[in-house]
Amino acid sequence: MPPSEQSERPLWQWVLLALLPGLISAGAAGISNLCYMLGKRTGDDIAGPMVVIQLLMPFIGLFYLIFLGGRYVKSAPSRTILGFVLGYGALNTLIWWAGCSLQWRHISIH
Amino acid sequence: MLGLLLYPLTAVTSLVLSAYAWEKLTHTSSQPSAQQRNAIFFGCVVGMAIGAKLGFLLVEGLAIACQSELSVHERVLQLMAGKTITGALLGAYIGVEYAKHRVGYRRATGDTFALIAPCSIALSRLGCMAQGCCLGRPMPDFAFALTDRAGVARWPAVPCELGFNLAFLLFVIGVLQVRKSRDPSWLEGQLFHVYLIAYGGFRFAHEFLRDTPRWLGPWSGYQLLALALTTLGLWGYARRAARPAVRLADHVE
Repeated sequence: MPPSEQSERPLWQWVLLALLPGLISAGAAGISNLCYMLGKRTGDDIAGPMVVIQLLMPFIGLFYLIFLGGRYVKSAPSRTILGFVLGYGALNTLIWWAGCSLQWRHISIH
Repeated sequence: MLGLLLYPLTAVTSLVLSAYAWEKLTHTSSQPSAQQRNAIFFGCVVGMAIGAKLGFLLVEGLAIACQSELSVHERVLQLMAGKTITGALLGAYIGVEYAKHRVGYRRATGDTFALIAPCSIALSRLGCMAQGCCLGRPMPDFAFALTDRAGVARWPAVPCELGFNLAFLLFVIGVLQVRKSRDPSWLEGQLFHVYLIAYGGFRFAHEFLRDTPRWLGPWSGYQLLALALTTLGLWGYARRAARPAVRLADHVE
């Protein structure tokens, strides 16, 4: 493989890194759910911080993807940061929604 | 409850493993280059994500939004969580074709995806099983019936989907063996088209046994998407058969 084409890291690592915001969001929902399994009080105690993590994730995730996209574009100059952010942003949004729908089962919205 | 957590985890795991397999299966070949390879995979997963959501919203979105017996909160949760594999396959196909066009790659890639897709979908279906979604229709209890959380016996829809994908994987392995021993060009570049045709047909028939909203009489919107899959597969097959000068990457043997 010519050096110019050699990516800094394997594709699966890029994918895993790019999906990290979604994974953290799903993880937060999972922790919250596990605590609700232990008891409502435990769940209520932990749900607050987990909801904060989830609500902040789109903003943190956006900056993170821009940063990661910059690193990716360095190793693949023909790609654009915008494409990277939009594409993986769409994927992360799906995972984030799945995490939110997990988390929000325990929240009543009045 | 743990099953709910497993669903996003299996989805992400299947994506990461697919990326690993795609890279491993294509890296020994002179083409595609590393950048083309990444771009094609990127097109695939982005197309898949968009297709999965749009397909679901097309088929079930309006029905869920108008379900007055559910609270707004519950409706929003359902709209956020839903996805469909039929839309994902359509989106992935379009995404790959678009990415290949953008990076100027003209060879067939479908045979590699025909190996990866059934494994990835089967893994995701394990997530469905853990989560308890994608249920079959309620029916009298029988040996293979699955019981849902409410204790209702249902058609084992997810295991059937799992079985279809594993069977197709065996078929692909068989074709690759035949290529090795007898006919190196058998179904060359056509395996993903065969998958689309087969899955579209399977899903169309299986939809009668799945507990999905009906559009008209016994027909569900997913059957429309299944027909679109089969049509796309047939169209791709015919197009490739008419223009066979698209040697597959050398590694899928």
